Amino acid sequence: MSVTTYNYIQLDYLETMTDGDADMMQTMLEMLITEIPEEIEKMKVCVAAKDWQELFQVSHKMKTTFSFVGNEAIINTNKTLEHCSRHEESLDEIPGLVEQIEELAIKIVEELQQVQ
Amino acid sequence: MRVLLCGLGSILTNAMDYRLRKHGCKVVRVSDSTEALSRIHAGLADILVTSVNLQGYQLCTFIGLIREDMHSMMPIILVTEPEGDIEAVLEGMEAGADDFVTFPFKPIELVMRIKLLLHRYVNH
Repeated sequence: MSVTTYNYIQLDYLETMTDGDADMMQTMLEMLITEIPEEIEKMKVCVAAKDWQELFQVSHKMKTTFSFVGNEAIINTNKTLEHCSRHEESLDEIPGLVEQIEELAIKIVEELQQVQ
Repeated sequence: MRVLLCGLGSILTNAMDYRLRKHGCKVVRVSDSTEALSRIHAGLADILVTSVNLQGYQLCTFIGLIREDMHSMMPIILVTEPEGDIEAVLEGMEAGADDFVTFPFKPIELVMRIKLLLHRYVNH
């Protein structure tokens, strides 16, 4: 029996929430694969428009989503982004944070697609 | 039991909808507090589970409208994150929320809190 190992996702919490139901797991994976890139695009639009409060809203919403994929690096980077955008601090660091989140998100989505 | 889920984001809402239905609950899903108020006003929910970070009416105004304007004693559970805005939780509890859970929580934890609060509410 082969066991696939992943470097960017850890789906224990998703499995807990879906109670091991394969169909529900599939539905949730599809939602994550769709939602993550969409929300990253929203972040980039907010950065271009310097709309920090809207960026805070997107970042805050993504905290929950990133918890479902269990990637600590993206969770922590997003936490910093949420703080900076909410309080409008270290604004020059925000584009780099969004870039880091996007790079990780691409790898996360690639691995989520392998689970499907 | 009709559970109104408000502002929890599509991923968590979908997961909780699934788990609550497995426990015999009917779930009403809304993305913002304005929509939630209209569902409550229409008598479509027995208990509210809401994010502390809301689109539409902010949390305290939202709870105030439920408690004071609608004279509803409907149980209210807040959902927050670790390192979340504890002040918002405290203000929400002072405004009339009954309980809170911190994400990520075990689904059974929220189900049990919902059942307990509804039991107390019905027997009050």
